Amino acid sequence: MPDNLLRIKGSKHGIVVQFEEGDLEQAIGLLEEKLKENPGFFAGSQAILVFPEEAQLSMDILAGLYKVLEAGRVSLREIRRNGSVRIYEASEPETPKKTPDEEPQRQLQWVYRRLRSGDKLSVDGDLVLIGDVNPGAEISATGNILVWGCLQGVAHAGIHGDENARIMALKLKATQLRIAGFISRAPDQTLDPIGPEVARVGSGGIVIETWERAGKGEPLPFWRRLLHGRED
Amino acid sequence: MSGKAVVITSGKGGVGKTTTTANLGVALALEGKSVVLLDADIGLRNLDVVLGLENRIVYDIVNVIDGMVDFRKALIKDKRVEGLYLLPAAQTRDKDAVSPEQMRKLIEDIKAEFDYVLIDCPAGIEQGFLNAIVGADEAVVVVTPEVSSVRDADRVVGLLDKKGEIPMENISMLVNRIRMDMVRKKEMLDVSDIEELLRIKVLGVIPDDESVIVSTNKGEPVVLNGKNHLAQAYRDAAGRILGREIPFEEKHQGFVGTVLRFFGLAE
Repeated sequence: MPDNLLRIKGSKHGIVVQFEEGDLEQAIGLLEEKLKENPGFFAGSQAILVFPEEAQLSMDILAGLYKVLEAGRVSLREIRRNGSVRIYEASEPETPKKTPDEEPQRQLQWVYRRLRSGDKLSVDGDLVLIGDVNPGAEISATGNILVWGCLQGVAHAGIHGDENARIMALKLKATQLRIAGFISRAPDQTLDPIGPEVARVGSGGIVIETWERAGKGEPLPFWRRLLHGRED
Repeated sequence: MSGKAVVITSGKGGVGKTTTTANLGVALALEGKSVVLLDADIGLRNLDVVLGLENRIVYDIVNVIDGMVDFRKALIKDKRVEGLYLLPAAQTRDKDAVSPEQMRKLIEDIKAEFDYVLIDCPAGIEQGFLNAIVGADEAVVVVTPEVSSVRDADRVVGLLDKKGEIPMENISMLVNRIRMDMVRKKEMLDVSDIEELLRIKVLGVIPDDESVIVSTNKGEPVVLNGKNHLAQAYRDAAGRILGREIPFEEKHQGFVGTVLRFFGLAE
């Protein structure tokens, strides 16, 4: 088998496999051999495959290549032709250090203050606010929002699209609640809440439930509770 | 001697800042204090009119700040009350005619010779507001029992807090134009509703009364004419500025009040 069908070299992005002009199937066989020869060296690395411009790349060839790489425990990072035409790129190169059962670290911020009209507070992660949010003030977080006080302004949880985010308050009297892309407003007639409440995205928009009932039974939509009072 | 500077502010216009400044000033002067009322509403001066001193203005605050005259020369002495002076605003200039640093210096100078400087702040939260609060040791936020007024007061308290020059415990509110009959019928915000939102101490509660309009038009602050409940409310507020503990009088009104008054048990 001619040796000049294939060149393998290292780069900071992984191993670069350069295919030369010639029979591709033979070259793939050669690659398979090399991976088998040195499993400890290649296993766990990422491959960048570079083909000559004229090479005929069929689905069969690519599938065969993929199998060979998989057998050698090499992941595919990129396929391209000589020059710079990129054919394939792995969507998100996995960070190798992360163990699978490790949750990404979520930030929790404690804020001790009263937000007055015109004040704005936005945090990355979850927010616990000890204090009131007066009408005309705005709070937002990429995660959950807990207001240990009276929430009368605008609150936006999950600003980056987390629909599981919740807004909780001892007294939930917000003029507007937003969770991810959902918006709900208080109607013109408002009733005072009886106790602490939790707002989340339910069927048909943002719903509110008392903290005792959270997760049990049918929650009330934000607008309905305030329009008609508590019905449970 | 170093006196105290108190700014009377509100955010919202038309809630009674100028009337409050005039009446608190008169009440403090009646207590024997030397008081300068400083109109910081440059371009829209009113305090001189409410005090009935308009026709005696020769120099104004901009003349003083420009160094044209000494502030003592610009002060107008009130003939009715001993120790009460007015430093009028300029009517033909605007808020940019003075800078915060100049205001601070001026107020320091006045404080060195008088017990109290009451600063009548313009409405809004722009340059005029910033000029007015800069030299103040204390702030009185005038608020009427309306949602819009309370909202603006809240914003102003937040701005004062952020500026950080006046400590929170020196910021108080004066609830103006309250109508107890409407409060009782739950048609008007109560003082406790406002307190709950603003979370600052109450300096005074002034009932709504037509006589304020009359006295404002005549240029005679209501505190000057004696012993009605309105004058008393202002005197109580002034007393609290002086650091006195004065309980808030719960006026008996309605049927109970009528019965109590009939038996001479209430005013």
